[in-house]
Amino acid sequence: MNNLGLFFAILGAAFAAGFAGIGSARGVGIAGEAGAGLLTEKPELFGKVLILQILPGTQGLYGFIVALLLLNRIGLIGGTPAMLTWSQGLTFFAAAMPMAIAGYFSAVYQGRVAASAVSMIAKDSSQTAKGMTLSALVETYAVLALLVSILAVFNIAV
Amino acid sequence: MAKIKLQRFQIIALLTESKKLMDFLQRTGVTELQNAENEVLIKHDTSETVTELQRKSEVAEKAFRVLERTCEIKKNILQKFSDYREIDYSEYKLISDKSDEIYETAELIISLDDKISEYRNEISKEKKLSDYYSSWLSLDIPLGSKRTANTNIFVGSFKKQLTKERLMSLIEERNPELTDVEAEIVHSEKMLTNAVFMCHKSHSEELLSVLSGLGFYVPEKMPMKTADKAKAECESRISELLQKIEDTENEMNDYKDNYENIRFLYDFYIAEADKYKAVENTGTTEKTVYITGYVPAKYGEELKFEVERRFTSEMVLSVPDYENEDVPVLIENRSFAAGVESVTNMYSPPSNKDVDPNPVMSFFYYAFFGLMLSDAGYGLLMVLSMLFAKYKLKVRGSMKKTCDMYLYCGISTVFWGTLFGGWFGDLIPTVMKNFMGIENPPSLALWLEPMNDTMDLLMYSMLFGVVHLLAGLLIRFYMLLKEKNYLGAVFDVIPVMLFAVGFAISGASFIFTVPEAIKPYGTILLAVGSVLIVLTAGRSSKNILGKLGGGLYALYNAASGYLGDILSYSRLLALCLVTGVIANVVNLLGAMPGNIIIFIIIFIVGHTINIAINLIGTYVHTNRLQYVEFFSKFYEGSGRTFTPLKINSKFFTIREDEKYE
Repeated sequence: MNNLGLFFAILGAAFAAGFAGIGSARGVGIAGEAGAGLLTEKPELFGKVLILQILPGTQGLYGFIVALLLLNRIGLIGGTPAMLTWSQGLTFFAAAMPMAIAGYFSAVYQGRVAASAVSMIAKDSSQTAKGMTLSALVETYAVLALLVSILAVFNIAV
Repeated sequence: MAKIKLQRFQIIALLTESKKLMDFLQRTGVTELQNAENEVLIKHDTSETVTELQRKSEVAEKAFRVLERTCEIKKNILQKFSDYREIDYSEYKLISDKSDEIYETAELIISLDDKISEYRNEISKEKKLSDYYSSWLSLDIPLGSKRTANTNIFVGSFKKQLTKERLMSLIEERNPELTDVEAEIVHSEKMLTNAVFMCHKSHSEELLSVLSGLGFYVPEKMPMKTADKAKAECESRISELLQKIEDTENEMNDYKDNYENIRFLYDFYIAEADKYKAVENTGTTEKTVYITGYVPAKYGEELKFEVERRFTSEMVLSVPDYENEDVPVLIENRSFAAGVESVTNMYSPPSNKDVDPNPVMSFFYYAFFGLMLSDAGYGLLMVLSMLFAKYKLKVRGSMKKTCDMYLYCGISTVFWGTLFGGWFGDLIPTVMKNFMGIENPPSLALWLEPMNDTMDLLMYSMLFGVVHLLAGLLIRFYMLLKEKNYLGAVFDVIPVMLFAVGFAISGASFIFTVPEAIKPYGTILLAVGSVLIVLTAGRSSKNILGKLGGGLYALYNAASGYLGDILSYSRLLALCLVTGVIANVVNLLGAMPGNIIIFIIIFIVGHTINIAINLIGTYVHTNRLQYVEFFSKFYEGSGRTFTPLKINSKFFTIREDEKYE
């Protein structure tokens, strides 16, 4: 029971990487399905479709970064594990939550916008930039969540 | 920058020389023809000729594929990747004059190939027949026997398995009066029963109707021979056919020397089809032909000189009217910047309003690619394989540009990998520790160790990002200056730059330790930038409230936009770490059994997979940083690429210096 603090901190890292990752996987998947449909008709658009598909993948990376920074902060990588109290552990857990939650949902919604953008370029491939912008707007909120999570992780006293 | 100026050209020449003139334009390969529209000009529909040429090119392709298949034309490993030869223009003329002759050979080769496949079909038919006769081997009367003096004989098959007892009982069941029937089962297997029936003439019709009801059939053309003879004849026909195939193949071998010419023919017809497509753009009068289009300005005068010297013609060069014409864009760069042209074109080719983004972008592209892949060993592999492709395989055209891109990406990867101490992950320390017994191997990193100095690298990633974004804004500044939009240049770009830098410094102080000396400047820049944005961004609005509203909205956009942009560069760190971590895990797994051979196997398989995964990831994310973060600052795109009329050949190149004579 002594190490429950550490447990909660790691759980936070796991949630950040895990849920943001699942979200990205779903988002990239949704966009990829739409893209594959288009590519059977117009294989020359592969490059553009690839970019649209990968856009919702950013959340997964952000989640990974939060997890990494958190693990680094509690000394699990690059040091000796800190002895965390219950409350410290839960605080770390809470710090990871913005990234986990906003990462998951924004990735799924971004994937849906990206899929729509794929049908947009199916009609007019010169509109890729607009489709990318629409899709990237959704990402803003994952970015904000990343910022909150990073700020929190860095300012928790160990 | 490396956007090439184009000139509009107009040529009037004698109609009698038009074919030669088109040949000349195609050979020089520097002009793009535009549709000549004028009511006095007669237009020509060449679509039928084009279709015919395309059909001929397909024939040629089929013919050389047949030769490759049948005559086993040997290719070494180099030729499999790039297989073309250099010829002089005189040789080109020489072979193209013989094109009809070669085409006939190509058709002949195809007809020989058709013959061979016909023989093959016959053989498979004969084989089936011979198999069927095999199932009759135990019958010693001729297969076609129908009757004796007083009896009728039926030789035939059922498509199911039957025994004699079962057959007899079935016959009796259906017609009890048929008692004098003799039956013999010659052969019986799962889906086939061969049988012979004999009965007195007077009953033959009743017997036949009963047998038909049971599914009995007499195969057509049963020979008046015993089965073993019939089979032997099949076999001899098969061997005859095999001989014929061999003869035909030998005959085809005589045409083997035409292989190169037929491949040439393929390219030649494609080039001709391109030329006739271009002819649709020209217009003629009774005696003259009118050709117009674009030519790079650097070739303009030379082309004019040559055209007028060779043909009875007049050529006029002029500056294109960018407002009213659909002027194409031609980009030319040295290999460093040319490498990333395909990346830019994948997004959208530059328009006439854009500056060529490739020179600036290439620097960041290679830097970010290397930082994300970040393993000197992987980089070295890339460099070696690209050098091999460039100098050994002598790849051409867009493939060469791609090779250049990965070559520079590889060099950059070696550079960053050396700074981070990654050589196939931690291969060297792992080997020293596990196989040489050195306990604490030294770190190979010259600058940072990403795994331990994560925070520092995160900060640097975002710092590189800020530099990247500022570079994009500077290009915007330059573009606005060039358009003589000085107000826009000063008010739309400079405040945003101040804001972005101030924002970055102030923001960084929340997470990183920012030197005290810089900190105040961050706040000042942020404040000045914000005030300027609010004051100037809404200036197009008429009333004071609209101006203020526009300004505040722009400030909000800048704040949210740049926050996202800068944080997005954290992917540099993320991908850098992913490569290293997976590489280390591979080494760890390999070293665990403590056996050097197992280590080598795991090493090769694991790192191959890691390279593949991370190359894709790195490529995609480097592109993304250019497209989403960088291009959004200045780039418009949607241009039309200059595509000159030239000889697009797969299997030969005409030597460069031969272009003019």
